[in-house]
Amino acid sequence: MDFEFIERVVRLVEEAEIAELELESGDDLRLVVKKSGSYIAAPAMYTQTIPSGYPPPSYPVAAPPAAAKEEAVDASIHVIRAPMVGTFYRAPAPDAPSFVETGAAVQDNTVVCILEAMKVMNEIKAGISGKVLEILVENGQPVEYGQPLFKIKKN
Amino acid sequence: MELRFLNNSYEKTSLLRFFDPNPLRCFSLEQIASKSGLSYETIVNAIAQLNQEGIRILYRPENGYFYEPRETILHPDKITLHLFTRWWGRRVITVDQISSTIDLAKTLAIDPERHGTVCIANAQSKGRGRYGNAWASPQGKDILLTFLIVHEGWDIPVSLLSLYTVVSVVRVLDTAYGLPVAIKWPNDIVAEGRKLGGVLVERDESSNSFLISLGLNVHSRPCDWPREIRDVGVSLSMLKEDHWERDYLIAQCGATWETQWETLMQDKGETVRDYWNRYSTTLGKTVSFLYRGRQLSGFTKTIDQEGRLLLLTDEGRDLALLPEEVRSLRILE
Repeated sequence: MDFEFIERVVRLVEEAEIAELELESGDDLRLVVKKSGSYIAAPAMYTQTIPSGYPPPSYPVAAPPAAAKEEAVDASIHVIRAPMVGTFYRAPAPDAPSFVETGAAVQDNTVVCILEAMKVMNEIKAGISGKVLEILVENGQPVEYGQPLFKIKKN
Repeated sequence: MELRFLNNSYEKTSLLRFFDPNPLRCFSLEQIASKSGLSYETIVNAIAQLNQEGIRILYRPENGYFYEPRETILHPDKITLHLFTRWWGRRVITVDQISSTIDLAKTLAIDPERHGTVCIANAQSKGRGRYGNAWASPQGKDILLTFLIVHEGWDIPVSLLSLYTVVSVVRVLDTAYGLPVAIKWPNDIVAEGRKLGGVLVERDESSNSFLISLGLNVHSRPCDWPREIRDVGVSLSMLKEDHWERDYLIAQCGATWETQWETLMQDKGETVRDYWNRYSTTLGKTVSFLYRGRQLSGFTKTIDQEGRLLLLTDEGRDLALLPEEVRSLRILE
């Protein structure tokens, strides 16, 4: 780390919208540049905060968002919806086969997916017997309360 | 000891929502306002209030506000911070010490907004389990809470609600932490054959509410407990060396409790019974117990729709046991 390099780093910190920069090189060299009177940029994670419990809906619990028209029309099709906010997983483990594939026959108590919420794994059952018509969410995607997960053709 | 009675608020939780994940990082008032949507005055007031309540948000003139976490504080806004529930924990109240969280919940049962209210104590002087059995609770170490729900639809039996609650907690400890937890009928959470926690459900007829209480040993150790339960109790920190955060654990239990509610309403407890059977230490065993004052023993078969334990007594009689009819249930083999 030479003097010119340090100068360049200081200039970089001065110009950039950062308040502090820490560099480590090798075993014993550590450079900390702080800009006085400035604010540290807010981390990007704000945009990803989990929706708050506020404002709470009035009791009784609000109904899931209304189904899209085409879903409501066909009475032979049942839509399995997310009963909670969470992350959708199609298999019990990363290397395990999926619980169900399109075209698979399901019973009332067939587990169709897992929703992970706050590190707790929640098995979601079909709740109806029929055949999987469509899987509406990609593995590993976050889902909202009431979001359609599967379309099931009723028996 | 100063006795504090704290209520959560939208403003304070909003602030903690971005201070908490970034301890010791500084934020300007302008940044806080733009991210939280709160006015400068509201922010300054809420920060002052949090400081009074033991959550340290300090100010550095050149950099702004920063949060200095302290581990032992159990603060309502730190619990709501983690929650994504729709009504569980819409109101959270913590107290340093109280006779029992049930007593506090009962005083709130007249509140029209009581549904989803959670009362949490750092310590209880008269905590209780079934039959008024004492529940030991050292200061600031364990989870002691009661929440209120109003149920105006299906008339759910107290015994089923008790199973449902035990199952929720056990599922959190199993799936999120991989602990070898089990359920001993009716309301005990056990691990390695020792008692880790328990659930108590009461029905308050005057307010059409259920009072659901949970006691869970988190950081306490045998030296914190009365002599008679030292050999039969266990805590989470004894089971697993981990950074057990009570506020996060409470939020996990509450969220899991709420998210299965609709399933419970739809299938009338079938899923709960499935889980219960999976975690039960009680089924297919010979047990002894006190039933209406008589010492009996029998072989346990299953639980029914209302959460009653069905068994065949040694006298050849079929019995359906309600939790309130049975005392001192012991598993013999």
